[in-house]
Amino acid sequence: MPNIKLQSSDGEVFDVDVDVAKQSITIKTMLEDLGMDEDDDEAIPLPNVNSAILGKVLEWCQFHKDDPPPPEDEENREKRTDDLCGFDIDFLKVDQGTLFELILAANYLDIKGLLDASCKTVANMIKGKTPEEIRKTFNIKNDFTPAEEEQVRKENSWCEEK
Amino acid sequence: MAEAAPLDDGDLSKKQAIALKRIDQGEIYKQEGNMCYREKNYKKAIGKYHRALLQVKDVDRQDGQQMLKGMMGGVSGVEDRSCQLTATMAERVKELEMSCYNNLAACLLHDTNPNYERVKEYCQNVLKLDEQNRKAWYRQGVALYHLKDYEEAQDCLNRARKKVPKDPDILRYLNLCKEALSKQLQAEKHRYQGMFQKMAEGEEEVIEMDDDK
Repeated sequence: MPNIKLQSSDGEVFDVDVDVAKQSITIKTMLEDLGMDEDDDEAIPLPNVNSAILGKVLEWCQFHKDDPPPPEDEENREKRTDDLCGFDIDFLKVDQGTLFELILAANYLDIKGLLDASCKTVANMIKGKTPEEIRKTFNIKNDFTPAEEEQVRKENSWCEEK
Repeated sequence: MAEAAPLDDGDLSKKQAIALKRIDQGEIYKQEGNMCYREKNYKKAIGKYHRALLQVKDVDRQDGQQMLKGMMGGVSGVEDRSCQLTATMAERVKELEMSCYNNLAACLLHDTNPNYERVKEYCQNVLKLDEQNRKAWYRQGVALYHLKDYEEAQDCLNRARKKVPKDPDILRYLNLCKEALSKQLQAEKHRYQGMFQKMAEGEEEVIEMDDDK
């Protein structure tokens, strides 16, 4: 199996199986344009991803490399947040900083499965919490005046229905 | 001579300096791509242009990340790398993306069996940034012609021709479109004629059957 070299922002080079790397649509598109047989020895720099995160991303890609492609109508289907597979749940048990970095990397590399799983993990951290609890979870300062807070509550009363 | 940055880039934050370095590196890749293209090494050029695009993709981390930005500010352990590009930097990113996509489309058209869908996609990326881009209109026209969408192809080629009315390549493809469209029309006429004839014959049969009663 041919390999390609991916280089993280801090200069580490990862030798990656093409089939693993191809889960990134960004990389897949590039390889298709090159014609898959073309073996380019020069590493591909990914200045938006550091080595710790790239390592994690590739670990995720390795595990999911034989996944069937998502169904065509997926975009229209209602999204669920409770359908993460066991691997993803464990994989995403990381500190918040890492989780956010993974989302940015999945977006940069266009890896839909990882983007979905990581965003769902964030959604699950928010779900069922009061505003105050959410602020605490994400360490967000409440910069609303009481009047503003009342206004927001009024505008969003529909989502507070029990 | 370490500071080669343009005037309004003189006073950069650390984040902006990192972004600037990426833009510089992207432009270097593009230049290398152009060199490979001139040497007719299209595969190598494609690799360079893609590397250039990866340098500037999400360089300001603003794209689709507003939600995260709000939260990331509060999360510990996250280095907020989002930054506002200077006007000059933003312009350079736009120019770089435009020429990379345009040149990628050109490279792909040199393939023995070009991926015309991809060519179309790249031209659209260029046209989103610059609606007047003659080369992108021309290459999209060529791609659409090969994808057998002759009317759309004609439209694109005509837009390209507005700028250079006598460009032989544009005229050649416009002619090809015209031929293909008239052939298509002939084929349709033929088909409908056949259909009408059959319908007419069918009616006759019905009449005959009526006669038989």
